[in-house]
Amino acid sequence: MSLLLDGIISGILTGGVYALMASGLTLVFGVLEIINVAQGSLIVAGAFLSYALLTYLHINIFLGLILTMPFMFLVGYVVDRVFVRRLRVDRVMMSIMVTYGVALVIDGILTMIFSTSYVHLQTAALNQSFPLAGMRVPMIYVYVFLMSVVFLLALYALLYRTTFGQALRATAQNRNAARLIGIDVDQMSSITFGICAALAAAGGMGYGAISSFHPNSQFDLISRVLVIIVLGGMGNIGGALVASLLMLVIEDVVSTVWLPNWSTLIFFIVLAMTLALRPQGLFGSKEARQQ
Amino acid sequence: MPLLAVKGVSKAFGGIQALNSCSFSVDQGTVTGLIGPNGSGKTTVFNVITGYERPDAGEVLYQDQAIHGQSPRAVFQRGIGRTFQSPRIFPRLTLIENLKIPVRASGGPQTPEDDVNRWLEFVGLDRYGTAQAGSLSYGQRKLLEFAMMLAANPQLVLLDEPAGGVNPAMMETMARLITEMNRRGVTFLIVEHNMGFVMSLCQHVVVMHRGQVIASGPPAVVQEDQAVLDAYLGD
Amino acid sequence: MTRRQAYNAAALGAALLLAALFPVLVPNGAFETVAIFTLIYIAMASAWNILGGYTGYVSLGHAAFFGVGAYAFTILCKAWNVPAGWVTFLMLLAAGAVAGILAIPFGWIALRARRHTFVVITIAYLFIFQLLAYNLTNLTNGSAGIGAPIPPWMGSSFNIPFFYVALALAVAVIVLSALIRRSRFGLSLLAIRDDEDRALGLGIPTGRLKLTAFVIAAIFIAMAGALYAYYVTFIYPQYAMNPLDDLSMALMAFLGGVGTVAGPVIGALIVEPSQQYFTIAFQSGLNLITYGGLFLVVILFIPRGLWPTIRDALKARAERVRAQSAVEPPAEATRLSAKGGSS
Repeated sequence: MSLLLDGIISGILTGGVYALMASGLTLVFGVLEIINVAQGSLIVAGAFLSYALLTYLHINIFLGLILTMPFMFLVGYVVDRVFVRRLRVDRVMMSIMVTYGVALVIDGILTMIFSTSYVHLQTAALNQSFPLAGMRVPMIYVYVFLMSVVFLLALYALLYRTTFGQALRATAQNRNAARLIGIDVDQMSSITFGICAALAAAGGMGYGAISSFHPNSQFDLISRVLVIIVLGGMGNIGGALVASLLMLVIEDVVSTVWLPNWSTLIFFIVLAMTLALRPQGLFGSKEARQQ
Repeated sequence: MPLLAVKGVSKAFGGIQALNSCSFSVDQGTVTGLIGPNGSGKTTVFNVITGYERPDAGEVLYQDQAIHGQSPRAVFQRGIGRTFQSPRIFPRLTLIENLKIPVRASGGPQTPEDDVNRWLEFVGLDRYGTAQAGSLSYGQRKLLEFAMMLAANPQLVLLDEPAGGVNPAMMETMARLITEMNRRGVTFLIVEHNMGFVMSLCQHVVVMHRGQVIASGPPAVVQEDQAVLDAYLGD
Repeated sequence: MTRRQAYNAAALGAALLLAALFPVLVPNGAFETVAIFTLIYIAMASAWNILGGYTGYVSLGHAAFFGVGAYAFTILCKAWNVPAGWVTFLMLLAAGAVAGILAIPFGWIALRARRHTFVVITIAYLFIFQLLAYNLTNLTNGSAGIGAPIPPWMGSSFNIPFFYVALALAVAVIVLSALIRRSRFGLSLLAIRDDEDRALGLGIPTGRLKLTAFVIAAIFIAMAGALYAYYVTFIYPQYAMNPLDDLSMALMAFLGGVGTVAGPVIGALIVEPSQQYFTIAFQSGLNLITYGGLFLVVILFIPRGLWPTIRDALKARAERVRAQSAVEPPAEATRLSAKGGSS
């Protein structure tokens, strides 16, 4: 029983980080109508930036976000300007190819600088923990979860409480219509890609704080995050949040209660079974399938 | 016995009632027009008949057999072909390849090369046989789509705005081809906004408004119908 | 036979002869190894293209079947006590059969979805199979890896059997790909690529056909995986089920010309040797940057791929020559036919 609770709590806490990484990706799909396969490598890049600031400049990983998030925003903005914006025909398929190329380049740069060994964001908070329901929860999990909640609330406020967010949502609904009412859709797209990369920086820091990583972690990350946004219904941020928590709770419960080795497999099998029954995802509309 | 009978078909999308107990029939050998103001449910009727939409209620009978709810493929294989408002051809295949696509389960394994050329000639596109269909003009695409239907040797053809968006010369060609195929025994059901086109071509006209049939009969009679005039003038 | 067909047949024959004589002309172990990997990738990319190119269902998970083939080969050889030697190559067929059977349910599930959802499901497949390879330790020995039968050939003759079997596999897939392209089945696959719903509405059994393409691709990619396992003699989950292989197959097809018979072959001939070269010539990391950069250049500047671009340029030149000699050609017809053809 306490094992089950243990799994649920750690699933929710880590699910928050995945929600952060997934929300950016699903937002990009909604606004740009593309799939950003480079998200995994952007997350890893964000984690390594935090790692570099922490190791060489001794900057706190949470404070470091003040530097890493704007930097990653710029990276995302430039990737869209230089590569994604050029895609005119068959955008979805071509975007997968192009962002994969970007991912390889980022992967290569990270490998050159940091080599391919595993690293971990070592912090003082990591060693502290507090008791909860008969188990000890590391403080860092809580900090990272709170950080995720703050950024998700900020994203919500940006989308639903500002005129910029209104324009962004209009673009997500219909790119052509948005263009007709005078929204600079190209600019909107680049900013969205930037936001996605900035969220990847924060998510990457969170990920790096609770697990070890190396450049190749991107494959594991992108496949999980893609699974989450497909499960949540492509372009549906709320769906991505629910799917993140759901998947991580399932995975952690399976891991603690049952079989640690098989937990990730469960993650993918739940996806395959869900999509067999509902190809549009849990919260997607039927139309998504027709595209 | 009519060739096709739509009986009490209803279909709603969300809160919008696209079809509301819609009933009409198409007699063998006729060219029947299906007209009505925008949003009156004409294309939805086409989608229900050809298996692209499942009706909420009612039935569609073809040769006295229920066909509603069957897949587009099954409907096609029974001998019902259709075209789309915006022609749906295979843009990256050549015209010849496009014409080889339609297959009827009963109609032999493959459309022979001779047939393909004959149909291309019939619609006047034989010069472009090896060109990619995507390089055709809008009107030419309509002709190609029409030829694709005919290549499968259907008994009933549903045309969604055959004269929409094409130039007058092309429109005349289309009318001539429809008349010719009708003479050879093909039955047509045509959705069309161009009244001149409908009135000159059709022996029978069905008028829809708000998902229901409000009038039907010979063109001359329907034109005088008060309900039809009201529907078009808006009420 | 027209003059053009005769010319093509002669060119193909010469290419095949040159390929067959490669070990004689270049008796160098390192080059032979590159040649064997290139042939394996030609087979894989061509098989992938039957699904990804013809039907437009871009799978980023078929590398899973490469791994299935590698593991099926290794495990079955052990289970059935297959001796190492020429006869062992027959086990490629068994590996293909295993993958083909597995591909039916997996393909059926994935093909219920379209486009990007399909892509994501196939990515998940790769990781499902990779995790299975890690976790089914009774069968696969997990991350410690598992050994295939040790080939009996020594020294300079080691590569020769593998070279000719790889060549035979590559030729078989190319021939199959060409036959499909010319068949009614292939035409239907291309129709699915252009407009699946419309194809269904024109009487094509789209579900059955695309599943067939999915399974064919899986079978031949698995045979390539089995050949790989026999050649390298030891397999690990992360190399047998490698996400990079998925991208390689896609890149080769897109570089050469996706959906054409020659495209994946040309793509593999360029990509695989250069990738091998980058790995040796550049430090780790730089090879990825070069590879990724090449990938980007291809997608952005020649999105249709090399083969269609070159072929159309040649055709346009031929048209110009003909137009100069002809008296007043119909202008529109020339414009149309210049764009035509996609065989």
